Parts: sequence; structure tokens; C-alpha cells
Amino acid sequence: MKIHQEIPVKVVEIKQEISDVKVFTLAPEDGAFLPLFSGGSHIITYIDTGDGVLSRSYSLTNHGSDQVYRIAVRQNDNSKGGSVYWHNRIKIGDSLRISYPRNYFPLSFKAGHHVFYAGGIGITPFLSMMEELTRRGAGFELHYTSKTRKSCPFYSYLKEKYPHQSSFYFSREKNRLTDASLLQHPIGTHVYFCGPQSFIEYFTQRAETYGYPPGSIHFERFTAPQLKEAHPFEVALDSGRIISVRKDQTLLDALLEEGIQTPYSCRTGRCGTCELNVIQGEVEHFDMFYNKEQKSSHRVILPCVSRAASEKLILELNT
Amino acid sequence: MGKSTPVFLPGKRKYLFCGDKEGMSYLEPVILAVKAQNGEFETGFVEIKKSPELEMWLRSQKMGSYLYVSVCWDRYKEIKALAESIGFTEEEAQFMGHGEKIVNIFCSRCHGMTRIRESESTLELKCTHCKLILVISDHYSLLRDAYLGYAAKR
Amino acid sequence: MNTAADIKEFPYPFKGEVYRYSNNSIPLETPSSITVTSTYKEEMILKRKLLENHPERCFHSLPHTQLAQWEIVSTIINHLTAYNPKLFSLEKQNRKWTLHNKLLNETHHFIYGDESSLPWQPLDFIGRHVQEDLIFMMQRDGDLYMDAGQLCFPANWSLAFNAGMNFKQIHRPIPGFKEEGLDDRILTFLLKMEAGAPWVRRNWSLMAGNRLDTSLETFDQWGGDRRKVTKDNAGEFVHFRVEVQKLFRMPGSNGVLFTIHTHLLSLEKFASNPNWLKQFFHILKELPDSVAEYKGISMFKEPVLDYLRRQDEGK
Repeated sequence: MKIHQEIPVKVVEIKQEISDVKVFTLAPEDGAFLPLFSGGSHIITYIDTGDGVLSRSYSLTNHGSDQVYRIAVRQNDNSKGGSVYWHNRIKIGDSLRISYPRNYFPLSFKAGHHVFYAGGIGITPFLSMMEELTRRGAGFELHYTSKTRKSCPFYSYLKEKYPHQSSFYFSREKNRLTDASLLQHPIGTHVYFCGPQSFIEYFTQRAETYGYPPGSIHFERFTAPQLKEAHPFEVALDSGRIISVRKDQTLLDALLEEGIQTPYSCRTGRCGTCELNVIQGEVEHFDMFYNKEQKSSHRVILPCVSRAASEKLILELNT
Repeated sequence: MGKSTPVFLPGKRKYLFCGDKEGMSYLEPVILAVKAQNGEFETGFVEIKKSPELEMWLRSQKMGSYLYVSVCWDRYKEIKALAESIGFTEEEAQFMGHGEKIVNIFCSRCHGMTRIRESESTLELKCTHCKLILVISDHYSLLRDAYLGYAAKR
Repeated sequence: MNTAADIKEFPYPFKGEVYRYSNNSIPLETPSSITVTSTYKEEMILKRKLLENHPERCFHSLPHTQLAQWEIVSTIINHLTAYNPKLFSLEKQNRKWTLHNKLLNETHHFIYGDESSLPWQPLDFIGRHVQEDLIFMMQRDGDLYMDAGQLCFPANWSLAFNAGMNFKQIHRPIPGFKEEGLDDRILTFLLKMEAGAPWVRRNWSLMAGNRLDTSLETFDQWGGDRRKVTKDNAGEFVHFRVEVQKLFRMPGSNGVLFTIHTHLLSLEKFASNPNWLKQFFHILKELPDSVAEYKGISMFKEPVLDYLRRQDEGK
């Protein structure tokens, strides 16, 4: 049960960017049209694999007023199969559905200068942001780190398009990205971080230490926070029905697997669509939706990311 | 508008104090607090620094700086607008005014502005443009820099 | 001008026996920002007259909303033509657009994205073809600001004064809105709104008379009518005023578009529906004074209650 409209699209072009990154161009099916999008936006792709629906979020990498959408997918062998499916199975002409564009990572309006820090495939949201700033005539710079030149997606594109704004750091070539540049940004700068979780955590923490106000620090996590150690737990529903949640699945997935039609949307603890009321038990919250008070009340949960802190939760859910 | 006393915010790389002679005296407790922590700071007197110099000084600052401004109300808006245009956000600055303050009342009927001294606080006044009797509200517009005056119910 | 709509078109605003301010938004089932009703023509004439005579009161925009205004033009034309294909049509030749409005028998040629090809700003142009007032809240640094709007039928507020304000500043005069934390909750809701998932809410009040233009600027012309309500004239004189507000996230500008369709219905016609009569009588009886005061109905609440009681007993 989804409350969001979807757009039917087909794959019209596939380009091998580097050995493990492919860029897919999506065009609307006849009769559909693609809305504009703002820099930093992403879409959710829904692929019917015949064995369930694979839904994944990807940043849009082209400009908002183009008539097509472009996404870049890095093959991740540890993933739950999303990127592997995109790499090995998707061909030109394939049909799929996508969400409307969403922007959880918008450019600051008041910033005098924008500085992007990217780690690896974390470059993707910055591509549309830099394009938008270029068209606006606004100032920005990019600090981009990757293991090697060869493993650095969009290296030649960036080098050619933004030669003065881009600095590259290749850790295996003894050129590490450090926090030193954070000390050099003029007042009015906004910094944006995107990359692995440890990368975001490190730079965010360094910027705070240097006195950057929270409102000038922006970051985007691609995935729900990875739990260091997830525990299995049980939930009881209104009806008395008990559902077990394995440690390698989310509460939402467990509910859907049991055939329970509960609304959901973003799957990253962001939109609030899948909210459920908690009657009893303690919640370990991993979302970015609730404030501190709501979290400590233990009355609500977003099952797409959050789990039980106690062994059992009793949920208000009519089935 | 404008805090009456400055609040020391620890944890910044550098502190900037900007004021006229009277204003600086109000900032003294914060300057002492920065000194006590061996913090880095700079001061700029608005009487000495003309606008271009003040602008250059503010513009040369790096992220992590924190600005305190304490000036008479006559210069308050101009300096606040300057600092904001350079990039000092609400989270990176505190602004204080002293002396006589003039406020604008926006007429809900003709959109004309009537200026009054804040000290002459009154509940009602006559719009100087369309002569409507206005009740002064606390509904404030930053864009208009004015409080809304409603038509008095008679 | 009497624009009191037909009772069949009237959007009944209540869901229970008690009314309080809340985030009463629900998902919009038919995702169109626009509704065309039987009073279309007369309302367009009134709207255009107000825009000609009082532009400073009815339209406002900040320069950075130009792209967003074009996105709104495109969205509204899409909705007009998709849901009313017999009344509106569009021809596109790249950026050369031609809009046909068959209700008004008008044809407009313009170049999409080129403001000089229109006699007005884009939002001011498209607003002249729809009954709805159009408010654009731009999202800037995690807050929403009223950076553009075309407003001809306000419920006692001033677009000119509220221009450029953020969401909380605009709603500051509403009693209890801040104290009960509603401002935070609704702002969070709006900020999390997503494209492709529009919402709708209904807002209501009562008024003496049937003016659509109850702007703050003209209060001295209509405010006094509220003293003229009696239990004998309330049925004809007092009107229910319901605003259907639809909320759309605009993905290109990342702002939020509010379209506000104002419906008026005389209390007499309203009370002809016995269920509405009973429920509203109960709601009005127990309505807190602060809410009645803000909605501007405390001055004539008693005669209206008398009228409703008499109607209820008569049935």
C-alpha cells in the first residue's frame, strides 16, 4: 500500500562509467512525463523482479530541466541484491517504475559559498547540485576522495567541466583528504558531506569542533544507519498475532513478509509514512524523523529502520 | 528585536566584537569570558571603521568565527544587513541595539507606514497617510520592518 | 455579488462534534490542484477586477521565485487540461505554448520560461484562469517562506504584510497555535511533504454577508456588517465560508504550492441538510471563545446559535 504516485519509465541508455559503476538513463513511457527536480534530488526505483519488488534510492545525476533522468549505480557485492540486479540484469528497453523526485539534500539558499566533500560514489548528489550552481552563477568547490584515479567515478567529466573548482585526493597515491581545508573556508560557507558513514561522521564532527554552526553543515546518508549489532525480537499486534523479526531484516520487512498491508515510502526513516503506534515496550530509534521527546516517549516507531530495545513490542495494528 | 545582553557561546575558533563606545561596554563581560579561556578575538569600533573597512574586516573572516555587534539603533539595521549579506547567520552572530529606537507601524488599509518612538508606547494611533485609527499588534514583518496596525473596531 | 455556491458543490468541513485547530490534512485522492465550479465565470470577473484595481494587495513575489512561478504555470495547466479537457487545452511547440480557455473564450500565446512573453508575472497570469488563490511557500534553509502569492479572496489577512514571512511568523496571530506546539508539528509535516503525494485540508469560518474579498485592507467596509446579524436575518445574511486548501510539493523548486478554493454557502442552505445542522450546532455551542474570536464570529455567534436552534427544533 503506497500513498505516493509513481511514474512509468524505460531504460534508454546504459554507460559503463568505471569498472564497477554504470550510468542508466531513464525516459518516460508514452503518456508520462518527468517532473523537474532540484539539485541534490533522488528517486526511488521499483523493479519487479518476478520474485518481489526491488526498491532502491538513487541520486539524480543530470540537470533538473532535462527531459530524462540519469542515475549512477555502483555494484556492491555485499548489498541485498539491488545493485547486482541493476548491473547484471537491466538492459536497454526494460521498463520500471520510479517515485517522483525527492530532495533530502537541498542546496542552502543563503550560503555565500558551497563546498562539497565527496567520498567515492558519494559524488552522485553533488553532480546535479554543481550543475544548478553553475547555471545560477554561484561559487562552489569540490573535494573528492577515492582510493585510486581508476576507481573514481566521473573523474574525467569533473576534471574537464570544473577544472578550477575540483580537488582530487587518491588515498592509495599518498594524497589523503584531511580536515585542513575546513579551516580555510570563508564566512558564509556551507559544507556538504556525502560518502561512507565513517566519512560523514568524521567530517561533520571536525566541522563542529571548528565552530561551524549546525545549520551550515549538510550531509546525506544513502542508506539507513548500519547497526553494529542487530538483535532479533518479537512484536505482538492488536489481534494477538506474534511476528518474529530476524536480526537481518527490518520490522517493516517482517510485517510485509507476513502479508500485512502497512503503508511505507522512503524506507530510510525519513518520511514518517510507515509510523506505527507502540502500546508497550521500548523502542530503539534509528530514524531522522522524530525529535528527542517523541523518541523518548516510546509511543511511536518507524518500522523501516527502528527496532525493539526490549525483547518484545506491542503494536497498534489491526490485521 | 535585538538581545539586551550578549550571551557567551564557547567553542568557536575566533570571536569578533564590533560596537560603538557605549556598545562595547555592554560586550565587556563576553570579552572577559573569551580572555579567560585564552580565546582568539578581534575588536572593531564602528566609529573608527567606516563601512568599507568594516565590510573588509567582516569579509576576511573564516568559518568558525562568531560575531557580536552592539551599536545604537540608528546603525543597527545597516550593520546587521551588512553582516548577513557577508554570510554571518543567526547561528554565528548576536546583535544588540541601544538608545532611542524608532519602529514602523504598517497600516492595514493603505499600507502606509507611521513611525513612532518605541518609548512612546501606545495601543492606538492614527495612520499619518489615510487617517484610520490603528490598533498596534505584535505581528511583525522582517521584510517590511514594521508591526501590523489593525483597523480599530468602533 | 452573490457567489454562494450550490449546496451540492459545498465541501462540508467537519468530521466530528468538536472543532479544534489541528493538522487536519488528508491525502488528496484526485491529484488536481484546481476545481472548476458553477461560479467560475463570475468569480473570474471579480478576481480580475480586483487584480486590476488593487495589484499591491492581490499579488506579491520576490525575484528568486521566477523559476518556481513557471513550474506552477506548467503544473496548473497540466491539471486544468487533464481534468477538464473540454474546457481547457494546451498546444506545445517546444517552448511556444498556446493555452485555450473555452469557458472565457480566450487564447493565450507565450514562450515557456520567458517572462517578457506574458503581460504579467507567470503566477499572476495563471491565477487569472482559476478560481483558487495561489500561495507559494519557498523552502529555504529548512524553513518555508511565503515568497510569492496571488490572493484575491483572503479571510481577513494581508498578503502585502505577510509577504516573505516564514510559516511560524504567518501563523503567530492564531490563538494557541504556538502554545500547543501546532506550529512545529505542521511545519515538520509540510517540510516532509513529497512530490507525487499531495494533501488537502478544509478550513472554515462564518461571515456576515457574502463577499469573497474579505481582505484585511477592506475591513472597514465589511467588518461592521457583523453587528447587523439577528436571529431573523441570519439564514440569508450569514454565510458559511470554507476554504479547500490543496498542498503540492513542487519538485523543481523544492517549494510548496497551496491552492485555496473559497466556497460560500448561506446558512439557510447549509441548514437545509439536517445532519450538517445538528453537527454544526453542537460544534458552535462548544467552540472555545478564543477560536471564535480569531475566526471573527464571536460578535454574532449568539444570533446564529438562536437561528440554528430554531431550525433544528422546526425539523
